[in-house]
Amino acid sequence: MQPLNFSIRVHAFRGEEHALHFLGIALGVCIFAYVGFVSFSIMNVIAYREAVAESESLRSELGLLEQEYFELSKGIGEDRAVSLGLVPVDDRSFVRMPGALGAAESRNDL
Amino acid sequence: MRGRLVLRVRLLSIGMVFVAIVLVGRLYQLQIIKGDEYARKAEGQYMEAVTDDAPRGEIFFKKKDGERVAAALMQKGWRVAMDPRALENPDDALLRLSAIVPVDETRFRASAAKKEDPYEDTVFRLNNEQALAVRKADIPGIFTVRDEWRFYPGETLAAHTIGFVSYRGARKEGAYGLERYWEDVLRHEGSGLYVNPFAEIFSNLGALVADPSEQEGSIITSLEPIAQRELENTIAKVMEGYSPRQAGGIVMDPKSGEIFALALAPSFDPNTFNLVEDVSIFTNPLVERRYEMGSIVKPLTIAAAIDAGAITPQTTYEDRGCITKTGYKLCNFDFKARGVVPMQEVLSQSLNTGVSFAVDKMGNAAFADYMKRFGLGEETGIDLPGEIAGAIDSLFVQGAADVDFASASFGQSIAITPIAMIRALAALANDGVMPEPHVATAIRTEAGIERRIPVADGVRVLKPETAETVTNMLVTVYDKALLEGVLKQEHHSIAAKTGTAQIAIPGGGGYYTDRWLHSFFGYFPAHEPRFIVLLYAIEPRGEQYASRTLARPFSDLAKFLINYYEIPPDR
Repeated sequence: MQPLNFSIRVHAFRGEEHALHFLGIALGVCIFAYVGFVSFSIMNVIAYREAVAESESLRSELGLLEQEYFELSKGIGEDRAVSLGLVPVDDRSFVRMPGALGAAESRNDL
Repeated sequence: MRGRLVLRVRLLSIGMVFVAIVLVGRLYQLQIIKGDEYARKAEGQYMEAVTDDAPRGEIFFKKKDGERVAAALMQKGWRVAMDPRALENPDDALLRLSAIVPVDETRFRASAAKKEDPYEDTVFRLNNEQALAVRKADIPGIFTVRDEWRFYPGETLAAHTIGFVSYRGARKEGAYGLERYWEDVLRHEGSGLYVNPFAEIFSNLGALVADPSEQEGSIITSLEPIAQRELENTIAKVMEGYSPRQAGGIVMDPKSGEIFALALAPSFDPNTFNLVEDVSIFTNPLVERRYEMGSIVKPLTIAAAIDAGAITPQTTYEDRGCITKTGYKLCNFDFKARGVVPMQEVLSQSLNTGVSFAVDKMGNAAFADYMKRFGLGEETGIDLPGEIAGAIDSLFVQGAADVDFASASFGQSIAITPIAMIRALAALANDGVMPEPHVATAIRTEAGIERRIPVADGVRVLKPETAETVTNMLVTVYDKALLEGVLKQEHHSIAAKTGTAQIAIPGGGGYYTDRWLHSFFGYFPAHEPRFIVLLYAIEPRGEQYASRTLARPFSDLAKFLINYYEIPPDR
């Protein structure tokens, strides 16, 4: 048992052991961070590629659906409205509001 | 023991310092000495080979509620190819393949005859289900290949504005319309560049501050698909009713300059543009052609004279039906004299002698200056390719005669593009300020960041009170004069004017006596306009005047827009 060895070391090189520990820990953190960063980047690249592929696939499907939407919208007209029971409103009524709208009536009587 | 430990520690420290020095040295070598070389290599890794199906951004319509609808996008799918060497029975293969997808028999047989050829494209644009069915059929010599193409879901909808992509050399590029104008934005050269998450973060940060029009992305337009469809229906009815050589129309926000709809007939389907026989159809006359627009120029002439203080709506003149300028006789459309009439009648009855009188009162130079300020002789800067400037040089050449100014006052002898015409007329609707017409409003980057494209401020060309005065006069035209007032809307004020112009004989020699250009413009609600509409038809048949061909289509379109956009009544 020679427990005094440590105190002698400190006396001879103050902080040297701590520096060593710090450097070791720093090295470990750096290695861990590097491995983590590389892993993260690889996972991100894979996820990105998959997301892009899925997005493009969905976009293509959406394009076909939008084509169908345009086709169907062409068929919407008065005939369709009448078939749904709607009728043109010949005599529309509007709610008059005070202020600018109310004053606007006479603006064109020039 | 102590000495050994110290020695070890010192050796370790020396070792680490040495490693650090080596690393620093290596970094110096990498970054300083060979930095440029590695930078080039790195850039080379990110660049992809240019292919004919390079990624491309989308183009969107924008519905009135802000919802985006794709106008152009990349469609992924399949194509069918054959190996003629492995084709055992061409007739059987054709029969079985035709049962799944439509096959061009002539092309198929021509390809099958190339027995030495290992690869021939046979059928294009298959979806996943069709491709799966082809694979399941297991036809010897027939196989499927991944494919990608530009797809326009709206087909003919806004075809002249959206445009299309075609081969230019070995690569596909925007060849017409927005596809061409926004090529640098839509073409994605750097696909896969920012897969590094950190690089992507910095890239996205850059996208927030950089000029949006210099970034790759998708285009958001102000084109409203329902309004666009209605305008196209309106133009189609004009074509059907009067068989003009060409007809077109524009619906624009007179305040912001955002284009809601641009339509032309004849049109085409950009998905099959290669089947169009007459390639002259790939010209957008709304920006690439100029016309003598006729009497829709009169409101600008009257506005200029009022703005210059030369006349007021109450100013009168004696209309004798015809006048003589520089030895030329200029007459009203019906050659009739109306006696002493006020300026309102000049617009209501579209009197050529009246606007000529207004020019006389303000002076030729002042009139020419106003026409220039209205931008009739310049490009508007709209984001569509091939725009040309109007031709109003006759007002500025040395020795310009009175007849030049008089005829220009009612829209003859000066030629204007329809887009420049509607921009100038928008000044009447927008308190005297001319907006900058534009179709694209925003760019969306691949990361989803959407940024508005900056638009130049409007240019003031008239006093606000002048615009208000002329607006009132034009409302009276629509309510009382046009077709005897039958088109008047009880609850919505509409300011409008017709135009019927003679068409010049190419190469000079005067004007045709039986060919006309009909035009019509209007904005509504007149005192707080949401829309300005310009319609025109070249050489319509069966009617001489625009009031007969375009007034009702305009009225129907205006009523549709008022209902669709739920515009509140203004009177």
